Amino acid sequence: MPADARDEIRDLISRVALSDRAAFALLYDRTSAKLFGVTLRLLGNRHDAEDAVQEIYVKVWQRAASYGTTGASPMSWLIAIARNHAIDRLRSRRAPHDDIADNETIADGDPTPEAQAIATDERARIDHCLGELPEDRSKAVQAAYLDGDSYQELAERFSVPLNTMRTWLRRSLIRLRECLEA
Amino acid sequence: MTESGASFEDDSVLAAEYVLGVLDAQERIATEARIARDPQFARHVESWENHLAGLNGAFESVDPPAYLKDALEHRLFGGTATASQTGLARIWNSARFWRLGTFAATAGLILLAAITLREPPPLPVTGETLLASLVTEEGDTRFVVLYDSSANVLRASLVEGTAPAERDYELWFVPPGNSGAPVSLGIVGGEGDKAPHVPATLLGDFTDGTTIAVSLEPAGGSPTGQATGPVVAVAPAKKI
Repeated sequence: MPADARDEIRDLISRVALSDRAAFALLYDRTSAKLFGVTLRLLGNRHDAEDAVQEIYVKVWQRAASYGTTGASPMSWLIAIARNHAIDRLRSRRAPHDDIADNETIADGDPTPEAQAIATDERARIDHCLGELPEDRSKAVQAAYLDGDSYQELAERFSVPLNTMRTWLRRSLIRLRECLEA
Repeated sequence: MTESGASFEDDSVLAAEYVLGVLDAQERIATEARIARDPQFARHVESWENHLAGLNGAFESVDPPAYLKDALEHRLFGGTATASQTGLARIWNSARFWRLGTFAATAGLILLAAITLREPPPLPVTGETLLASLVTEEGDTRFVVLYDSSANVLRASLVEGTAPAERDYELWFVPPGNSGAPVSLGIVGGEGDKAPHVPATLLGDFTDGTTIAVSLEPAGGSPTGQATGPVVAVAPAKKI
């Protein structure tokens, strides 16, 4: 058995690269709750999120061989595919964003293997660096990443002109990178 | 939007805007095209994906409905789903298989010892040559695969590291886009029909960019014709 969840997911992805269907089924079992959570939060409704999860795993099946060339953690790689897919979908057809039902089956509170696979030091670093930004800028970055807000939506959310929001966010991103790479 | 020649700063900010997701549909399409053709820009994107991955913990896990997995497998694999693979996995995990496997592995090891005493023949380079350099995750094992397409000669060498006892490294051709089952290209250090080779059915498909993988198999290679062990390295073969 692999030493931990991260290694297991990495191993499963490399087996999926060789068309191992059993590994694909296991990879789905291990990671689909996280990716469904990502698409549900970004797309805001179950129907679109379910469609998106299917499309995302088709991409995972097709692109598994390219995983080894990236330096990303396996969970980050999967979540990047999921976010990109969901955001492309949001941008091509803006979906309602406020109807996540209260009765969703939120997985229980114990850390799941995929949650453990997201390194805690990565999280501490981004939290620290976001904390260095003015509070509204920090919130804008998180609203974009976690809720899929576009520049236009951020401008509306924070009641500033679109160009002001662009300038704000770009400056914030430069400061954020300087902090993250320090 | 920035063009090539733009500053490092501009490229990095555009990559961040792409990863954050704030660009509109057209800007995203243009940026994706840039990622595909500009490796340096692609590295900016990768770097931001890693930077922002720390936020991923804020996405709550939500169990998807059970029918989604069936629908997905049906869509990818048709009606057969995973039955045969599941059966394969069961065999792989069974004690009886391993007892048989150990016997076969011992025989394989004796064969391997005999093979390693011989020098491989020199490679005639007469036409287009493809080279793949494969390294394991740990970096301690390295393979070089050379293919001369005009002579149809495939050579594979373990240039660093060794195979674990009673195991062999097997080479695989991975169809583009994972569109079919991988095809064995023989065993690193193998002989006879297990020697590295490109089967006639793949001759036209083995071209620049072809993905090659190495898996760790029982001695003598996969007992099933499909990779059964862990995939240790994957890389494209590039024209040299």
